[in-house]
Amino acid sequence: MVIDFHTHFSGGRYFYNEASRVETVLDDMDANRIEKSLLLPLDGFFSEWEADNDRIIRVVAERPDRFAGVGTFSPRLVEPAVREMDRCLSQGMIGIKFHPWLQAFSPLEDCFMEVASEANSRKTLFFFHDGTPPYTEPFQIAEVARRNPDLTIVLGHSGLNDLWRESMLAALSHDNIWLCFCGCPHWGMTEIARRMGGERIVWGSDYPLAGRRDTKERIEQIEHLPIPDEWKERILYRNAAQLLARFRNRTDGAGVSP
Amino acid sequence: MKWIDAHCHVGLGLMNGMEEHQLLEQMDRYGIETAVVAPWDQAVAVHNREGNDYVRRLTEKHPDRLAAFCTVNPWFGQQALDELERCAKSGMSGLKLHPVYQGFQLTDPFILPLIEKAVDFGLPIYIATGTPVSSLPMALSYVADLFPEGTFIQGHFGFPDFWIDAVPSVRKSSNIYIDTAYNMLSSIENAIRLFGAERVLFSTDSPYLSIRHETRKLLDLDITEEQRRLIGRDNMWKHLSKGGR
Repeated sequence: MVIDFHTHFSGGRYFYNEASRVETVLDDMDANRIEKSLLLPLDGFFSEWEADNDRIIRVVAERPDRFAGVGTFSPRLVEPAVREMDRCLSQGMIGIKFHPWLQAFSPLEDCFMEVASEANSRKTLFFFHDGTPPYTEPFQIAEVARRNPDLTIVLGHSGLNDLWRESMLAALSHDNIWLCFCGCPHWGMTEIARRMGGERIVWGSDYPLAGRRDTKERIEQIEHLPIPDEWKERILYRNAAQLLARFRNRTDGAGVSP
Repeated sequence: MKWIDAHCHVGLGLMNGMEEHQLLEQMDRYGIETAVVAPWDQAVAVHNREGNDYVRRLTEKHPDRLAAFCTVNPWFGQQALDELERCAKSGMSGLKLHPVYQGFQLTDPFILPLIEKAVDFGLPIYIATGTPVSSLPMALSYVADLFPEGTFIQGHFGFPDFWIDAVPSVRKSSNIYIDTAYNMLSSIENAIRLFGAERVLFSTDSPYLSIRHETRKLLDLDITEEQRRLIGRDNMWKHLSKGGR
């Protein structure tokens, strides 16, 4: 079985013009042996993030066996940002996703650092798009991890094509950084897996930007790596299960009723 | 044997590499008839002549299996022009430029004489794209439009973060071709719908990517067998045979 740690639950309004439907998502997951998906926002990067977060909260509440969720918000205004973070966490979300170049902020800006500090005191999880200058360089995000050791950070693309080595060095320097293999080249994934001994690495598809067949192809990318089968199983399933369990335990009983 | 891999690397570099026998073994295993090889990373950046001689000798050793693109770092100026001419006259099949490894912008004035010479020799020019600030699809389109008789291969089709730009750049410049490495099945199929199979070339960019995996992708594309043959072999064969369009 597989856990997909990088999927978007699209509202169909921006960027990707088809709204996600739970039944379709589950069909696509079943076709690729995906037991559970982490739902990230998409429309909420651009506007009305509270309503978009609510959509994901509802889906997770309906099928907690198949989904976990994270929310998003703009960090520009710290007080409402922290309020929305608390609302998301109290409703069963396991953390917050940021896409700094789409949301137009640098992880090193004061406003974001204040939000991260609040998140650190809540020992939650931040999931980042990474690998794209100017605002999602892995070392920028590593500085957030360094200042906030109780915050768990997932680099959602492991640095992509050009910055995978930086993402690996960030993770090797900071135990609170996890890497998600999603769009990382074969050579980079191989070296990262070897340097990290198969630990603190999860896999993701970027569904529905990656469709059902693309998702299968991205699972095969892991299966084709020259690393031990036991590490592949960890990357595709066991590491993500451990990470989800760590945060699910904190949010048990907090979700809304189906 | 069916396919032509339009772009891969051979030789042991500082950051990655693949030996001759490893490449040939994998070509046999995954049905690649001919691979177009370029030199390893360090030879792309600095040791151009050493790298070019190495890959050219491999094509002489395996003329039925390998073709070679030369590379020159434009910062060598006249020396780069001389090396390109030497390679072209020795029968090499194309020019590879890598703005990131070689440290230039496609619009820098010392690039154009190189492009002009490669076009004069009828060499297709492979340029990796997708990495800001120096390796961008719209900059390639600007250069390609200056040389309408040239053949430009937009390596990586803008992957990862310039997939939006990649489409208008290919649409605008009819002499730009794209390759399949790095891209998802749906992205490649979309490119075929938008531009036609004639504009798409199968490549593995091994050893950075997996030959096994990239070949599997070619087989899994939801396209006609005629389109697969064009992408997988015939398009690149035409470029290699004619030295361009």
